[in-house]
Amino acid sequence: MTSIEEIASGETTLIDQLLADQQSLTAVATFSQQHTDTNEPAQSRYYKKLIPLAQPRPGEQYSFQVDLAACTGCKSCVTACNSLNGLDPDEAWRDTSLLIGGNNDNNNSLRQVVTSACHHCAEPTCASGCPVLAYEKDPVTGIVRHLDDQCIGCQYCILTCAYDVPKYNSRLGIVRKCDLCQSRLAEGEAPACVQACPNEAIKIKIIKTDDLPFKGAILPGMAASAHSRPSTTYLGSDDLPTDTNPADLHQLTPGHNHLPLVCMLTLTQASVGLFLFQFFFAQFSQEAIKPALNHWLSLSALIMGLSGVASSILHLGQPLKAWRAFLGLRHSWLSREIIAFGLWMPLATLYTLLTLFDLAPPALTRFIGALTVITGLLSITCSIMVYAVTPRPFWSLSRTAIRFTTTSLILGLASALTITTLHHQALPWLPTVLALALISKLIFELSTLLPAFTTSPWTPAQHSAQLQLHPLRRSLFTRFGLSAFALLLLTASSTPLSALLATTAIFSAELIARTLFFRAAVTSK
Amino acid sequence: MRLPTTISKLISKLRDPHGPLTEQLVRSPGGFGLGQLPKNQIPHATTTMTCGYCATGCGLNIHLDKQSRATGLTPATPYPVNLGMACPKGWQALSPLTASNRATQPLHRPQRSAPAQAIEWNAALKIFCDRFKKIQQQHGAESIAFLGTGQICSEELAYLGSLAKFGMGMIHGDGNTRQCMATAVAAYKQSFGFDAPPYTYQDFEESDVIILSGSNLCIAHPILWQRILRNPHSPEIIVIDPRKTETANAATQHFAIEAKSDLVLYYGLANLLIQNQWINNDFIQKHCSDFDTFAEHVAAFTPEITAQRTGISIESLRSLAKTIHQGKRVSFWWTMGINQGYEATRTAQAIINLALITGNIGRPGTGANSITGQCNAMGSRLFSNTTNLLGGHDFTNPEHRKKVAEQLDIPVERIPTQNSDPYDQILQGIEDGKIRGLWIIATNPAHSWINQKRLKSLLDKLDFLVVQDMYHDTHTARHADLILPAAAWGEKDGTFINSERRISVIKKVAQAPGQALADFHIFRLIAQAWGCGDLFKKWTSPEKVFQLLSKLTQNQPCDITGITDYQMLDQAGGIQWPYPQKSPSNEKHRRLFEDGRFHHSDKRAKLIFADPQPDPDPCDDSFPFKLNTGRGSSAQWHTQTRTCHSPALRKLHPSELLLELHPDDARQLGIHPNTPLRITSRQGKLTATAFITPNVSPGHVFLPMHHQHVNQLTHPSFDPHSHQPNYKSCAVKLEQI
Repeated sequence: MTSIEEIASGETTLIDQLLADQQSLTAVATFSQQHTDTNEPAQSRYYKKLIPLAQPRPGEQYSFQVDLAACTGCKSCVTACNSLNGLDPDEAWRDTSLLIGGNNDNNNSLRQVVTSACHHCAEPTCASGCPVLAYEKDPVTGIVRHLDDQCIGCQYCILTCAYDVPKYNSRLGIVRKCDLCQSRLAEGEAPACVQACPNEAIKIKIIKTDDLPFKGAILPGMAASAHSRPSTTYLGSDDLPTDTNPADLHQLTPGHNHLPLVCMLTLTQASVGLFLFQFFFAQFSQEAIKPALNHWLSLSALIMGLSGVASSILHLGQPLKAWRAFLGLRHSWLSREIIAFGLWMPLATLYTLLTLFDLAPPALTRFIGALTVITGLLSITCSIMVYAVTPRPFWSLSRTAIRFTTTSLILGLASALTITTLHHQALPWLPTVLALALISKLIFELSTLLPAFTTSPWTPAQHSAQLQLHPLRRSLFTRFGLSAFALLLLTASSTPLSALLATTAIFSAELIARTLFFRAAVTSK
Repeated sequence: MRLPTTISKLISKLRDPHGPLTEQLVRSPGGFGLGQLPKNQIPHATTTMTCGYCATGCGLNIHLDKQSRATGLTPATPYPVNLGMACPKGWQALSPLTASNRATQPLHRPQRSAPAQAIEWNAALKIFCDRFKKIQQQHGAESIAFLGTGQICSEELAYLGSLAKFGMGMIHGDGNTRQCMATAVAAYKQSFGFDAPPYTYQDFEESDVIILSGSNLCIAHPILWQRILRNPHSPEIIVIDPRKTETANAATQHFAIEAKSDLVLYYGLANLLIQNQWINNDFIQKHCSDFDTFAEHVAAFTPEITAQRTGISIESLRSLAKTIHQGKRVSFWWTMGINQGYEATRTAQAIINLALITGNIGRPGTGANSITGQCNAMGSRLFSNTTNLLGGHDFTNPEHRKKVAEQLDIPVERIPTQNSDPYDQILQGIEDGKIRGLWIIATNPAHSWINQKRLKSLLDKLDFLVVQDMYHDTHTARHADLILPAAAWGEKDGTFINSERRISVIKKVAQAPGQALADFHIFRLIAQAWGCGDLFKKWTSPEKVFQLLSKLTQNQPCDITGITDYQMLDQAGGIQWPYPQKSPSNEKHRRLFEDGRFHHSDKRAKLIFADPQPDPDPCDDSFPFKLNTGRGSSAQWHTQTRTCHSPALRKLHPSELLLELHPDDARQLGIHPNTPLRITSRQGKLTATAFITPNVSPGHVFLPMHHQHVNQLTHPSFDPHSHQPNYKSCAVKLEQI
């Protein structure tokens, strides 16, 4: 037993000595360096044959070529991309997914891991969507580059890319993406993923940009190639069983809710709707409007509009760079939306000031009012187009247009209802029109749930319906519950309190409906 | 429409192609033959060491900063194992070191269920010795035991086994290697006379027929699949597995046999080969024993019976036998699908027998080859002092005890004269009250052991449980009275032995957090505190212990007396055993039995066989499905205590537990894709999400083993020879929730 006591006295030194030893790093001193600093990377002996010797000629570009038969799903490409490019711990520009097929033929069943990165498209929709020209397609290599310092972190490219390629980095407030390791290729080195594939399944090929596909999809379950003409080719994609599908096809994972955008869209649409109401009410009303009512109508509209625009700023990772947003005017609907709202906002403010303080002749006020209404409608049109051009069937032009315009109408009328009722100048037709508008919108939204009850093969519409009915059912029920409550109030009572309650319920329900708009959309890959 | 050039110019002025954000991802030449690396991660020096996950034993080039601290890694290009490649775990090998739940101080729980309190090493050592000695005084020296690992260095394993048995008087100690390769050990020992996997990875490249049994190589050992792809002979790649795994998909032929019909299959194949005289009579006569009785035994496994039991058609069986016959260099490989079964040893030996009777051993591209699991499972086989006395010796052999005692300069009476109980018997000992104290090192049985509920209740039955681990909150550490904080791979020196018997060094390239110490150091402290420090006075550094161990191997089949020090191992890119003195110094690859001489006293290999046994957990009307478990993805390692700390790895596997189920069964039960299911076995139940795929056969279901609850289902049956648990065959029922 002596040793225990020894520990207390003499042996503490051994503990200290070992703790100190534990902290000393001696690998370099102990083991002589075997590496000589060569110009040629050691790994080039394996990857030399996997990359082109020459640069692309005019009309050509670099592209990834993945041999499906060689890829066995080890996924080293993803971790190598992360390590060799110095990305954040959870960041990688290569993703993997799984295809399964051959359900009816046990001997021919398929389990195929698919590795994918940026497809460096011929017509990159990330670039055409970007409001600040943060993307460029290199004229020589065809590499679609992202200019990290130009990015304002609006993440619109994430929506316009059909392949879920750009990734938002919340630490930096910008999007980043694969640059095909262009600095490596420029020096005759292979991109990280090519270097790291034990099976040599990923190669870099030079292809003619004109040959990139206008139709079909590069793999089952991937977005239609017509959208952006991706350059990646998957060898063996023609041999897949006919019933090949992504393994997660039926997985009901709701999308991001984009809260700032939900607020921005709902509030600006409410604002434009209310300005519209106020303008026509002021112009065409049979009876004289109390000035206070008129003030409240425009002031409320302005406050909602400004809050909406302000909340959109919260969506940006780099709000201080937002002034650049006009740069993409020529091709980006987001840029156009920002410019449209940028015109609308001062006009709406001016119009409200003119109304509030009676500063100008009525004709001028009317003119500014008309401009406010027109730019407001233009802005909503841009908002609609922002979503309609993304590769999401749930956000098709007609559907988005119905949603956004009816939101504008319903929230404009609902705001007007409360304000007019509070000012004892209730319009008898207003609750009925509002109720009818709301019912129409609810019927439209219910119709998006119908595909869930069909037994047809999977469609994006069916998936969106399932998302709403299963993981998002609480939001869905709340949205309809609140709306039903509002309808009840609208028909049963006309007191200021019930008007206020109904309006609050309708606003909340519309906000929830807009989160459903974002969360139930099926993202292509 | 073209904008005027002035406007274009203006716009281009408003774009920032450079700046601090762009700068973050700039790459520049990394030097050291590495090619371009992120500009802010250019190494000051590099050094090569072996990966600490699996037994493939890839060489990793560790990038070091000026203080010799690891800042990154790349797979080592010239290393003879991995040829510049690594799997995702290897690429991310450094990330588990910086996890926030690292054990940084000894922790003591005065009462079970009380929160653990941080204490000093002094106090921890005193508690360790006091509690264990008290138990020994009351219940005898045998009443404490240890459960080790295949994850720490050979020198540490040797220290642990020697300290526990020679120093502390324990008889019983085993390792988690019981769960992965005990079957291969038992099979090789009985068949060859020594636990000697005969191959070198180069054999993957030299075979013309490669037969993979119960091995999902593409996912479990991706780098070995890479070696198959480098085979220039367009080999026939045959996968025998009930599941159509990634490897089965990539193979040229797949035989989806019925669950646990493998032994019948190999006997049926042996019968076909013998009946057709597709065997190597010359090799059998010179180098094998018991052939006639073997031939007689397998004669009962006619093609008809074999086809009926395995679900493989007679034509397919014949064609498979013919492929083996026609192959000039046929190699047979197996992994956990074979090892983790209730008649696993005989099944592994049935594979060995196929190699022996066809003469496919001892030549390039041949062999009956077990691919091991953990990074140092092979080190544990030789040096853990558990099943074998150090250096592949035998506790029950007085000559061996004498040799070891002399070499180590310890009294021979210190060496137990009896074998240790295997893992399952140690647990039974706890149940029976014979084992009262347990010391668990670098393993996580509360997640990984079969029939998990019983295991957890046994841990709580102990009088005293010590867990030594790099994390303070593993599933097992949550049951511990005392937690000792260990340094991890990368924070200490030592050697590993990989599947192809390659001994290689690992190095200290990162500082352990807080007061965490290398397991080697912890054993040293315990030896001192226990009062047996004198026995280990020469055991002052891992390298000194390595030299002691290498002396012990003299004249053993695993003789490595020709290896002088770590420098030699480092410069050679690892050295395969045996490496006796005066071995040629320039061999990159070495295989065993080139002379056909095995390690039994008659120098012959034994053809060992037995009748197939009934399934201990058969399906019936209440439990109609056969559950198989196995590796889920290449990004997950065992109980995920390490891999869960890499966000890059977490992206690479499904976040929820998926049960693979055949479309026919799903249709019959009305189960829709991605819906929740309850899975119930005779042992327990859990919930998982339905993943409907024809990759499993009708009547079979599969769960990845990495989920913490999967072993609540598994059936506690064991191979009688290897005592390895039967993870691959458990009857379950499925219900929709």
